[in-house]
Amino acid sequence: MTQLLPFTLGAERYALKLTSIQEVVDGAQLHYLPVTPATFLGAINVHGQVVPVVDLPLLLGFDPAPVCQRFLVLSPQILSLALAVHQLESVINVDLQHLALMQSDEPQNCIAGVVHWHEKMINLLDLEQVGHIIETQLK
Amino acid sequence: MDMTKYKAMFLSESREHLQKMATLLVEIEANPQNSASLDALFREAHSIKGMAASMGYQQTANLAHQLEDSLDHFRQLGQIDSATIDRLLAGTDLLARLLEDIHADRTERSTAAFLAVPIAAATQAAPIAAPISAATLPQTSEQQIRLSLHESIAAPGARLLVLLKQLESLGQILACQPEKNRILSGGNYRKLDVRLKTSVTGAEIKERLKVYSEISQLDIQEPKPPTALGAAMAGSTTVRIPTELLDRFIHLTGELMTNRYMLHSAAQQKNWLSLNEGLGQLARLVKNLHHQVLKVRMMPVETVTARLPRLVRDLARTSNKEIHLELEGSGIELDRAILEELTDPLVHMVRNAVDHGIEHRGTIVVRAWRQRDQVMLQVADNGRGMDPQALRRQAVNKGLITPAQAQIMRDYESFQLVCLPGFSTAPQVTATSGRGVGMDVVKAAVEKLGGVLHIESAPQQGTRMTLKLPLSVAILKALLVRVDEKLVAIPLTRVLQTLEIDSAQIQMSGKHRVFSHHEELLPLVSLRKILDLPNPQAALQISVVLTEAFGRKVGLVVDGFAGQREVFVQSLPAPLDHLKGLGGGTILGDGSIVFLLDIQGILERRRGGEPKV
Repeated sequence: MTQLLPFTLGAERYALKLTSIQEVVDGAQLHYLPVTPATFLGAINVHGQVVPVVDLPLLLGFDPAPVCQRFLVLSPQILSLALAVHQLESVINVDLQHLALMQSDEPQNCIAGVVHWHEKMINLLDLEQVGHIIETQLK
Repeated sequence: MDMTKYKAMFLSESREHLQKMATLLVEIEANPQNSASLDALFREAHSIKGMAASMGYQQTANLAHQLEDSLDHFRQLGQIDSATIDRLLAGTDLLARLLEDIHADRTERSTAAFLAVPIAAATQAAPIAAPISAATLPQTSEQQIRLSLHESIAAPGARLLVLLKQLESLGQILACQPEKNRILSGGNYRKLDVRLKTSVTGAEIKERLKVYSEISQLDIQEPKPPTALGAAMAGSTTVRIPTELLDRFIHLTGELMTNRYMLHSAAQQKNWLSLNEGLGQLARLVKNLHHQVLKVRMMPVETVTARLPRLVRDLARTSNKEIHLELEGSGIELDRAILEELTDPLVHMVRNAVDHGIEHRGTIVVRAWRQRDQVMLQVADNGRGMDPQALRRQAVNKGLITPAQAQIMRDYESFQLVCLPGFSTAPQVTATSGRGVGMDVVKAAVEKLGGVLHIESAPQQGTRMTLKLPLSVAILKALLVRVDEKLVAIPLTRVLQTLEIDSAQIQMSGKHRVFSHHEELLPLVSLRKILDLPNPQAALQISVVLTEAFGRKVGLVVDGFAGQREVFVQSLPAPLDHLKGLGGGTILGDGSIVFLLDIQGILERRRGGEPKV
C-alpha cells in the first residue's frame, strides 16, 4: 500500500506520494523573492533553509492559489521547492498496482497516472514534469 | 590494513609535492647554479617515492625513485642543464597522470617506456615537455545525454531499455534518470537522462544513436575539459587543519557549554540581568566561532598561483617569447570556494598576457593583496597594452556596438569591450588563447562571486587586470535596501556610495534620467522598475545606491536604506541557481528571508546583454 496526500487544484483532485513530501508547513510567512516569474510566490524559512514557493495551480493553468500559509515542502532530493495548492485533504492508503498510467498526450498537465479511490479519480502529480515546466519558465 | 583511508591523504600530499617540484624546476631553469633549490627538489622526489612505496603504488614509486636518483646525481654535480629539466618535467607530468590513475582507482599506467631512457643520458634527444594542459587531459570524459522519444511510439519503456543498453556498451553509466529498474517495472517514461563515462566523443555517440528513429530529441553535452589547475583543485577534497586551530574549537565549545548552563539557570531564576549578560557572552562566542570556522575555509592564493610558473614557462616556449613571471602576495588567504572559482579565470588572464600582451620579452606580475575587507588579485604585464581607438573600431566592425556608441565611449569604458562575448584583439588565432574567448568567462566568474573586474591599459605600457574579491562567499557584508516595502540586499563590494539626492538635481537626458555627481553626469536606474514593481509616489528626497555596471557608474534609485550587515548566504536550489540577477538568500535575525541582487545581472537581463547603460 502507498500513502498519498490528496489536494485540490481547481475542480480536480491531485495527489502526491507521501514519500516525496518532506513536510507540510503551517503558518509560514512568505518573503519577497525578486527576479522570478509570477508563479513564484516568494520564499519561506523552513528550519533555517530558504525554500522557494511555487503557485502550483497557476503553474498548471488553474486559478492562482489562495493567499494562505500552508505549503507542501517537497523532499529536497526531488525538488527543493514548496508548493502552494488550493486545499489539502487527509492522507489515504491506496494500492498503486491499480494505477492507470496516463499516455501523456498533454504533458503540461503533469499527470503521471490516475488512481481510482472510493469512486473518485485522483491524478498522481508528475513532479519531474513540474520541475521541467519551472525550468522552462526560468529560461 | 585498510589503505583507502590513507589514499586521499596520499594523493593530496603527493600533489603538493609534485606542484613544488614543478615550481622548483622552473626556478632552477632560470638559475641553474642554485644548489639549495636542487636539494629541495631532491627531497620532494624522495618524499613521493617513500609514500608511494609504503602505499604499494609500484609504478609511481619506481618513477619517483628514478627522478630522485638522477636528482641526486645533479645535486652532486651542482648544476643541471635545460634539456634535463624538460625531461624531469615530463617525469613530473607522468607522475601527475599516475596520481590520476590512483585517484580513479585504475591500475597505474606503465612507466617502463619512460624509465628505459636514463634521465641524465637523455640530454640531447629529449623531447620538449608537453604543455601542461595537454598532458593532464583525461583519457575518458563524462558525457551528459538527454533524449526523448516521439509521442507516437508504443512501448516506450522497452525502447528506452534498448537505448540504455546501447549506451552501456559505449562506457560506464554513472547515473541514469529514470533509473533502469524503474523503467523495467513498467513506468511510462519517454525521456532518458544519462551521465556516461566514456572515451567516445559526443559526436560519435550522436552518430551511434542516429539509427534509432524513435528518438525525437537528442542533446549531448560535451563536458568542458578541466584545466590542469582545475583538476588539481577538484582532487583536493580533504582539508588539513592545524592542531592549534582544533584546540581552539574545543576551547570554544567548552565556553559555549558553560554559557548554556549560565543562560539556563538565569532563565530559571528569571534573573534578567544575568540573562542579558549571558546573551552578550553568547554573541561574543558565536562571533569568535564564526571567525575560527572561516579560518578553516581560508587557503592561501598560492594554491592557485603555484602552477603558474610552469604554465608561463611552457607558454613562453611554444610562443618563442622570453617571459619573466613574478608572484607577489601568495600568502594572502581567501575562501576556498572563491579560489576554486578563480582557477580558470586566472589561467585565462595569464594566457592573455602571454599571447596578446607581451610581444617578445617582458614581465608578468601576479600579485595579491588585502584592501580592507577585500582581496585584490592582479595580473599585470608590461607588454604592448591596448589601444582604446582600436578596441572601439573592432567592436563596431563586429557589430557589438554602434558607431554612435563608440563615439561617446570613454577610454576606460572601451577596455571593458574585451569582456564582450565574441570579442578578440589578437590578429591571429593562437594555440594558447584561442579566439579571444575567455575574458567574458572571467568577468562572469568574478561577478558571480560578488567581485568586480577592472581593466586598465595604455599603449606600450602594458595592461593590468584587477579582480576585487570578497574574502568569503558564504559570509559577506551586504547593504539592505527597501523597495515597495520589501527588502533586498546588495553585496557591499558592489556599492561605491550611498547618496540622498534632491529630486531637483535630476535632469533628463533624452529619455533617461541623469544626475550630476562630482561634476559627472550619471544615469539613474529605478530598482522598482527593474524588479517590475509599481512606481513610487514622487518624493523630494531620493535614495540612490551608487554602483558600477558595464564599467560605468550608475545610480540605482531605491525607496530607502535599511542598514548594513554581515549575512550568511545560502545558494539557491536548482533551477533558481542559474537565474541571472539573483545572488542567493539569507535569513535575518528575525527569521525573515532577504535575497541578494546581482546588479549587473539584472541590468543585463533587462537590456538583453546590451553593453551600454
